[in-house]
Amino acid sequence: MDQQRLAALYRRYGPAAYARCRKLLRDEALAEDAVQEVFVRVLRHLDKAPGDEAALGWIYRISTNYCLNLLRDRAVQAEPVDELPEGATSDLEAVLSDRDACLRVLAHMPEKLRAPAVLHYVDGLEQGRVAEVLGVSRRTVINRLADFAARARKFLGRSGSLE
Amino acid sequence: MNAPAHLCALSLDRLLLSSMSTDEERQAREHLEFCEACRAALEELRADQQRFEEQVFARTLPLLEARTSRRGRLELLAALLGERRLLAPVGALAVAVALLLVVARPAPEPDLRIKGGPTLKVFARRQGAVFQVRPDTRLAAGDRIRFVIEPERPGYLLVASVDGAGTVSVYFPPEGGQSAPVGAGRSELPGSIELDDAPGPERLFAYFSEQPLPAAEVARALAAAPGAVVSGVKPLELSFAKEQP
Repeated sequence: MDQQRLAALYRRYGPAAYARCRKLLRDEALAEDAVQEVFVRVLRHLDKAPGDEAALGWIYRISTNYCLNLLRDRAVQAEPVDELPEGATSDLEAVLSDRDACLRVLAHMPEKLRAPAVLHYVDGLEQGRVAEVLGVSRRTVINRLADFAARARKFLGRSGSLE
Repeated sequence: MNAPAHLCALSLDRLLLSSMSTDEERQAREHLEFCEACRAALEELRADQQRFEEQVFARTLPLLEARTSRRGRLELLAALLGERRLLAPVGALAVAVALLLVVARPAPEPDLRIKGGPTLKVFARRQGAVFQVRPDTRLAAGDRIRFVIEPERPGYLLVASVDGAGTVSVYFPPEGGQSAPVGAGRSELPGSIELDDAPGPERLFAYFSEQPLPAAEVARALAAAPGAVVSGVKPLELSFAKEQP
């Protein structure tokens, strides 16, 4: 790919990729590094994407996986569970819509459940959209979200954050 | 979360990319009118994207270009294999080509002009008298110096000095963490600098570039090697002697 094309793609989609990394990592310096890593990985797909929606789908898929792995490697799971929202709410979705709480729960979940959970609970994507972004069937997403919800309820129940 | 009740992150991104259909965009904007949570999410997204456009894009594009080009990949491979000597010059070249930065060589003329490049002039004021600083000019503590520049096109400028003790000072911009934008044509930089009593010669370096350079990076490079190239940009240099107080 020539430099002009690269610069054009980076100018168009870089802001979305950066914002997504910043949102997940909550750190501007980390996001600045992450956006380059994500872009290197996503570049070929962006160049062939038929439109913005497809391009954003790739950005979401790759940045979500990259940032979650980064957070995992930075030992986010070591954060204390007693900082999770207290049991004032019994609504799993309300608890998980808080990005920090969701990430702490995610640290205790199997890898394959993490990306669908973030896309659905944190980003608010409907199951069909999650399936499109991750390139899996809607049925797979439904199953993974159900699995995630069951495990999260069990985990949060144990930590006293959810009835 | 009741996902359908709010605009999802993907929808907000599409809205900012102006890639929604007319109907979708109308519905999204209607929702935003009464949904405070979605308005806040949109504003946060917009602020992040603006930061990228203003600060991150220029800094990271050359790195990305180096990593995605064949030459850049070879360079990374060389670095991984421990051939570190290859990395710096090739990297600097890649960055320079990528950014199309103004690369100016030090010139012996007092106005530091190179053909087709920007110029820097330094003027000093001592006891009411103003004179141009030339490479053989001797200045003293208490003299005030000002800078006049004449770039041929708009860009960014950072002026720093290394005094006889090796201390690096960033003179322009007086505040801020990176080069400041300057217009084309002759202009005098705001403010003046009062020279302190640090002994020995002082060397001034002006970095003209098409993208802003981080001041901390320039200061680090100058501390390590006065006149250092930063992100492919060679500075204009003017040295002058300082009389002992």
